[in-house]
Amino acid sequence: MRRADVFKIVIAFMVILSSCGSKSNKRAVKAEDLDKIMEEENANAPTVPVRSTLSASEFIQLSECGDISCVQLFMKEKTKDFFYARKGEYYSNNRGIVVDSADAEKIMAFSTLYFASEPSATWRIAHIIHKKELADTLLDDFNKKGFMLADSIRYYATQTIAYRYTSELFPGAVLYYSSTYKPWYGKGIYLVSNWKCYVFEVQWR
Amino acid sequence: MKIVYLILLVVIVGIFLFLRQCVDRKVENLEDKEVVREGEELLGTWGTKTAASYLQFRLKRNGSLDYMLVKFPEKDTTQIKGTYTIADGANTSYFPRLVLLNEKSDTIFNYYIRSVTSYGSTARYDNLVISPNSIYDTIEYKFYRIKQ
Repeated sequence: MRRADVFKIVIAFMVILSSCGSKSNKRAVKAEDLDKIMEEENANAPTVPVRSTLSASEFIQLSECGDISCVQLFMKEKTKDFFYARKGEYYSNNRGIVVDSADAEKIMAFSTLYFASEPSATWRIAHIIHKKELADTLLDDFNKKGFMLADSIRYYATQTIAYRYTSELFPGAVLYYSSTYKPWYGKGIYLVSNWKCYVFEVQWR
Repeated sequence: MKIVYLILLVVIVGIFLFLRQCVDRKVENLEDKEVVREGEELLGTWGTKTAASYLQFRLKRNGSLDYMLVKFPEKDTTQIKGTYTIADGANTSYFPRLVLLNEKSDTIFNYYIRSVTSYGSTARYDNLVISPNSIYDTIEYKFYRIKQ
């Protein structure tokens, strides 16, 4: 066999080999195995947050905290849905579109949980929600717990009108609900907030 | 003399790629499947399954489409032949879109392409992720490459 013939055979062999070996085609799955593979991939997938806000009962329970360590202990069990950004600030892992006052779309956390961390501050825990639908759902959850509108006040903390709700099931608990652009004293992401925030606070008397 | 070797190398690589393409097309014709190479990762058959249905579509090299939807538990099957196009976003803020059309050019679906497994990936299975909107962290549908 001449050298040229050998060369031709090698080339032909390489072509055939490489044509059969598409990497993408090798990563295909059989249609009948799809169930099994999807289950396997889902099991290995990182856990995703399932909710964007705390529930009413959780927030009532949390609002009984009187110091930072109590808040941190409570939120530690909820790390799947909330992450601790920095002292005094938790953010929901669920993020999405929030529309600001100029109708521009921002992608950000759907809710936050802020609490007073300054030693001199009046103790305050606020659950701040950035989407009206989510705020309505949480308010509805409070209503199911018997919280009825009692009155409204000009609230210094959110610099707007806050609606006060009370419930016979939770004597001493007062829900403060307000929609504002100033949910916290110029702190964290609320330093220059130009989107509507729905603030929930439960205070105990 | 060295430049001659360089030219020779380029010619050999060129011939190799040309021959490979010829063989790929021949294999595609004989076996009725897409041999996917780098840059063509979208081609081929994609499928996904939910509790309610199995959806499969095949994007062929010539721009034609085979679409199949099987609804459980009756296994009621809808098969549609048509075409598909990849619509590039107006700017880089948007993902390109995968538009499937039936024979009457009615849209079957028009979804953003979030990601497709690249040719050189080390992933175990190829997948295509499409989404009804272009916003990160929102709803998405994951399809797997189906063996043809």
